[in-house]
Amino acid sequence: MIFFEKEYREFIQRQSLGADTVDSYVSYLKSVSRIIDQDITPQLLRSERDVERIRAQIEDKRPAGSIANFRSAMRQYVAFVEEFDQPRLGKRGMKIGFIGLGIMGRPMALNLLKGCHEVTVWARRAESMRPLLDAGAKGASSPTEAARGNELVISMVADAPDVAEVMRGVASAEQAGLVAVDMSTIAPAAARRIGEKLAAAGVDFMDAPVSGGEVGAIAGTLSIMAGGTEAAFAKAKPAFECMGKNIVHVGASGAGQVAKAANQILTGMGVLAVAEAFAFAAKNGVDRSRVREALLGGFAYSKILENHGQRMLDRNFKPGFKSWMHEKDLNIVMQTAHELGLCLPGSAATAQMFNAMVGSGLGEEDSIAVLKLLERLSGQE
Amino acid sequence: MSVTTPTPSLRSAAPPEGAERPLGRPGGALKVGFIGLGAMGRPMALHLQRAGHDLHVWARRPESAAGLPATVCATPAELGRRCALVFTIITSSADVEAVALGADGLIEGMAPDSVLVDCSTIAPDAARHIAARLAERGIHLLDAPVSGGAQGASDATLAIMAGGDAAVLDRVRPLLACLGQRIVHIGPNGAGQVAKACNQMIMVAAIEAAAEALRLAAASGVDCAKVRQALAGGSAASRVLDVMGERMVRRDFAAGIEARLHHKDFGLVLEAARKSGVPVPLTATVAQQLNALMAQGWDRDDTASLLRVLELA
Repeated sequence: MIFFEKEYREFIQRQSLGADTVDSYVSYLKSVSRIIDQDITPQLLRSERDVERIRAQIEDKRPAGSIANFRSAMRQYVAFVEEFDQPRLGKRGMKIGFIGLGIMGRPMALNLLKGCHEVTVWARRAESMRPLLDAGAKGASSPTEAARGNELVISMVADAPDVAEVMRGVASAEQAGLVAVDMSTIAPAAARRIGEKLAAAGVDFMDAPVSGGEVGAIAGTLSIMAGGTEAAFAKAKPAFECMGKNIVHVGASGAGQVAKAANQILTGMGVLAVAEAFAFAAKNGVDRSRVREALLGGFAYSKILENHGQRMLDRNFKPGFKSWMHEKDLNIVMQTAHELGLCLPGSAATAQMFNAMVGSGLGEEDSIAVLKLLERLSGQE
Repeated sequence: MSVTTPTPSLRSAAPPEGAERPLGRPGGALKVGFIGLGAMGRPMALHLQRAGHDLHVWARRPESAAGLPATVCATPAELGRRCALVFTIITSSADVEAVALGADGLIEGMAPDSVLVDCSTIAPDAARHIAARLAERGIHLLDAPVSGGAQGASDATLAIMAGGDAAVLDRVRPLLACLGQRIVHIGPNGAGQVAKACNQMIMVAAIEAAAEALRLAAASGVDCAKVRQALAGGSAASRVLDVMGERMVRRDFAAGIEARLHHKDFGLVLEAARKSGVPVPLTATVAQQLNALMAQGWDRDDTASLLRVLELA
């Protein structure tokens, strides 16, 4: 990937070079990125020295095309970095700590770098940090160190105990004025508890879970639902804007997680609804793809019918969003309903389907594999 | 109030190992500790006392122990020091953990080779965890949840499902026999709680089934009492239809067993099902009816109130 590809193209165009030249420069840079297995970022290519270092790397691997061309493409990038919007390319960014570099965290942290924030990363497994360090992030040796000296620290980890643990580390950094944002999906009550603990340590905590999956994380188009103070939201907003598109301050602490749980109710039941409609069509001997096509024009239209429905037709069960994670999220819904005395019969039935998926070995597949479970139950295999 | 007579040591009077030392020989008076003097615990404790045992109690709220012919101890640890056999029957996993393992908990007082019989309904995992911690001090745990309700407790007809070492169970069997008739060793620690979870699934689902059937009968303009009477002789006959169905017909929703306890138990059941990856669609649906019941503020009424939940719709 080339960071600021669009701006780089415009920069070359402004030098009155032909469209062919622009395309070939971009494709040379993409080849460089592939050969060195790193993104092309302003941090990677800042000077003639960087150009020569990378030239030496790619020379051994004999790319197609002359070395002079690759060098020119890289020099243009350096020139672009020097000239183009200096503030955006490193002068105005925030100092951000980022904790948790899994499927979601890695591209989110990369997008922060791309937004020219100064990013310090920490992950439990050191090898997860490698791609971020290569792209120009600094490495920390602990959550505490990831928070120290920063204005904002963000976590993206698996579950509530992990959030509590890393946030304990963050609090012990004793960083005045720090805003801590957890973007993991955990129970609203857990988020509120962590928020209270951090408040006592002088850290303004915000829960800001996301929706949009790995695709949205890479594209920087996540939906972000935030819960916490106005001040924390204002502080975190520039960072959110690097990672997402639909950014909503839902309410006070925990409100972001409530919105996310509501999201999981809708998506969980939505996927099951589409799968049941398809099982129904098939058992009646009717072509599911035709049914989908017909319904897409009506009131039953949904993104889930469109996207997940298509993947069900393709029998593409590759995650996406793993069903064990969806089960985990539905468990948050059901536990919260239990604590509140809230009757959610549809969610309860759906949660049991996901429970059965995990129990019968479909946990690592996408949540659309609920179709397989339905087919098994009705002898449609 | 305190008792100064020294505790006759069961250990010094008996060989260090083996199951041949029944703690409650007929006629052999024992110092028996009891914690949890609620609707279930109080009659159970009294049965033990009436069988001739020297009852010691600890209560979080001292007034719960008022009027009991028992020695009141200041802490669970003190109770544990005095008694080689302790019963607990309290509400939640966290409460049992606190009483057993917390500061001034039983673990700080109970001697090696003494026995804790926990009759509470808690998570199987919690029972296993408590057992492991107690075992580090040589203390035995039996998870021995009971079924039969307040009526069964006062009639001494409880069903007792025990998890833990079979030899330890045999040692305390004579005392358990003061509380119930059916005492079954299910398996190792936690197994008793698994059996109790199964019991709750079947029983509360049956209450919901009875409520739905009687609601349908009423809505169809049919006499519920007659329907219940007729079914009692057929294939759908059950103790639940008998006891809870009768409450529903009489619209007597005063608690036998408070619905909040079933609601709590369903949380445990669903958590256990989730951990095993076992689908429990009916249980999950019934749990939602219980959630609705709680929302109506009927938590301290009888679970027969599931009928009233249906009437809301």
